[in-house]
Amino acid sequence: MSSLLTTLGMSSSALGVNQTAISVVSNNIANMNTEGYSKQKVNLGALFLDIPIGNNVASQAKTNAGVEVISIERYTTTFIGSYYRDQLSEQSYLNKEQQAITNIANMFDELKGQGLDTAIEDFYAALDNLNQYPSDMSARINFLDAAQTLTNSMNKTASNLNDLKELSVGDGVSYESLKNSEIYTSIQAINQNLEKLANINSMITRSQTGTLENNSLLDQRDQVLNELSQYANFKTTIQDNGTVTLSLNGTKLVGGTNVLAKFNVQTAQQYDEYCQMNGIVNTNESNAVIMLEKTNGPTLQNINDRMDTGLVGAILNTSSTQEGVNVNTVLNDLDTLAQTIANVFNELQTREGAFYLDNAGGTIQLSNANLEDYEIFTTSDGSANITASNISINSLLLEDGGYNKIATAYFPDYDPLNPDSVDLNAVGNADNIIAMINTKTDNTSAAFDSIGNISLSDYYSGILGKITSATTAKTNAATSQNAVVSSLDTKTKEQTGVDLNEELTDLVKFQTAYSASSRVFTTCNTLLETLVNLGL
Amino acid sequence: MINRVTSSSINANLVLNMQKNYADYAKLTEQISSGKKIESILDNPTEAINIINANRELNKIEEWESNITYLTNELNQSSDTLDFIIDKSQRAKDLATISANKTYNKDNLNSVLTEVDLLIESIVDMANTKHNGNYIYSGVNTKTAPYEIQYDNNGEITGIEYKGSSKDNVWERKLEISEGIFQTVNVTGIEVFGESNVNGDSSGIMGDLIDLRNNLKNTISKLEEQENLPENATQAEKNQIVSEINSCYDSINRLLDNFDDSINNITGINSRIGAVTNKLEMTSKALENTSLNIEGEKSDIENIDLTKTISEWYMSQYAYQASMQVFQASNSMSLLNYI
Repeated sequence: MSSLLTTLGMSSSALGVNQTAISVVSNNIANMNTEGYSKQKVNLGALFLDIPIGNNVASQAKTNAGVEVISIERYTTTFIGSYYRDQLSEQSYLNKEQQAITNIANMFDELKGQGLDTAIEDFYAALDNLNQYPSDMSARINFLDAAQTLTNSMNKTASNLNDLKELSVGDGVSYESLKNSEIYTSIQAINQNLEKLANINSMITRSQTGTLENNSLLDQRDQVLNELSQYANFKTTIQDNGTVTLSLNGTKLVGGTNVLAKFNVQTAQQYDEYCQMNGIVNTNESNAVIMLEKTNGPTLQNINDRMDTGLVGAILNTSSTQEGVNVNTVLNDLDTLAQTIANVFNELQTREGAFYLDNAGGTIQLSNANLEDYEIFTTSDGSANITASNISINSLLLEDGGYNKIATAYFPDYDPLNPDSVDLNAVGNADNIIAMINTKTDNTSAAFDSIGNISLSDYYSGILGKITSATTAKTNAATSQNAVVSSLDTKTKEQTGVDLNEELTDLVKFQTAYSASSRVFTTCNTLLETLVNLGL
Repeated sequence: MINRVTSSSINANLVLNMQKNYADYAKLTEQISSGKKIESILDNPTEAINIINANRELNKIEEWESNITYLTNELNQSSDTLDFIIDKSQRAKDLATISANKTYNKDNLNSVLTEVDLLIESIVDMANTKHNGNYIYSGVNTKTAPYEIQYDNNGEITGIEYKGSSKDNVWERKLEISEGIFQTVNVTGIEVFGESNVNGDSSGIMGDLIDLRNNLKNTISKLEEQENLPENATQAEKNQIVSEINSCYDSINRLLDNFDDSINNITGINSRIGAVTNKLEMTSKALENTSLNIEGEKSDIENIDLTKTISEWYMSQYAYQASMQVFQASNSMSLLNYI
């Protein structure tokens, strides 16, 4: 039989336990809108006291001694945890890819009338107009204007693409430009999170499991892991004591309470210098090279090929030279287009039998006298290779009266030795312009080989097609991945989130228990008083 | 076991659905206000490419139609010019007929000669017609007048020289009227009117005019010779002159056939121009039809179906309102109200 004092003890323990329970409920309610907070629950257990049987201390019996808090349990979804992070990583990869292709697609938005297509069409329209009035100054100037609009819009698109590339991985040379790039900020963010994780690990080892403090550290740990997984898909192993080991392709980044390796990023030029100094064959094609600096051990100089997931993977992809539609491949296609345009029209402009107007405009002159001087398209930076960035109009044609140098006339039977093969008064001869117009449909000449002997418009359509289908594909992929993550989000919230009704019920439950316990305490107290008064 | 549902998951779901409904509503609102389904390449990449292709086709057709207008204008002008020249040539032939029937005396013939000179000048003037600042009949030498009248030192007309492109070299001016098809706009003067140059090449109406003029001149001088024949001239000398005069008349008479040939040549070319104009008119109509078809297809892709979209818009509005109502109702529901 238990004594009154034991009962008094029971009720007092119940008071304390219910108070703790109410404080946990209150913590839940307070954090019901905290991102990443997991609902906590008080696990109660009956409290037993060991009492000796008779005088034999060794043999003991249990006696009821009230209630105790066994643990404060945190609602977790460990089985979702790592899967969720995989999906997060995939989500940020796909969203970044979608964002990148959308940026490119916006530059080629022909429907808003700012694309290259309009410029190519206008160029041919100007040729057509020149064919109507081959000896007319305004038609010639109009043609040069259209050609200049074409080169300007190629330059502009190329420079926009280069800007996009620089924004993601820097220009490959200047460290300043690298520092302003997305890859640099991402790497910094990863490093900060690695520090944070090591820090949390060390706090977890010092705290006791099943406490409010420990639980909130575990919440923080999961938050950091979720954040990290958006940058790249790291491998995480949760240890028994709640700390986490983070690794990338077998290289440990965080283990126990220490950061074991940190990321850094260098420009392509810096990496190239390193390679030359150490006699390594440089196969790098990216503007930014990620390195892994181990605390104990050699630095890995180029781990770009390992960083193929998450945000970092997608950023590196935007400037990859691999297949696919990204800034680099689109730029290459544009360069080919620019070269083809230059080749096709320069060749016709300077071919044998092509004639331009002399300065007085009254007669025509042979155009292939000094080839380079009369080409329509040249480079603005003096380099030999024409690209979308440097294609420009020959400045000689833009000088005063330079418009006369457009070779409009063509004599198929021109013979340098026979002056009668050419009629120098033929200022209305527009056969060379007709040949230029014909390049819309006739693409058999060698100048068209580089784009597969299709027309400029068709080639450009091909580029557009690649961009738009990639946009569709990547948008679809991102949308469905977003749905996956959002459903996982909901699931996590369902399983670990705070439900107000539940908490209020608990509150009432514990309040009732508390009131009841205090009633027991009072009753006990009265009984004891009665007992004490018995002797009086 | 009942799945656990928490306040935050319900909240998140409600917000998500509300956002989705609002996005639908906003998109439809934008479509109705702009009248277009596809405004940017990102709205529907595949269809956007079709719109771009349609725009390209329409631009081309616009170019071709402008070329056809240019061609038609120049051809009409050319045809009017030829009509005028045929008229004048007919008059020249009439003058030749009158002169050939021997009834005119020297003075009459002199006035005929004056009229022929005027005819030559006005025909050459017309043959030197310009369209948009370019000579029509000089082939590709568009800034060179096709015909130049040659005078001798006394100011007498001796020839009409052609300065335009030769038929043996490049002479065509061509404009594109449909994909890869170029229509020649011009005929060379030498082909229509011929010439009469210093090398003795004589052809066409220009050659005939000079021949007529030369023969008139000859006839007049022979008539003068006959008038100025001395009193004591022998019968043989008189007969000689008469036969010479007769042969002059004969050669004028022979010119009549040449005139007919030359005028027929011009008429033939003029009807060829008429045929080309008709063909262009048909091409233009065909282009217009194609253009309308493309516009239609483009509009199907690009523009909204107003009835359908507006009914969808109402639906999305209801959905959005409903989701807001549900949010409000479920938010006001709480155990707090009962304890």
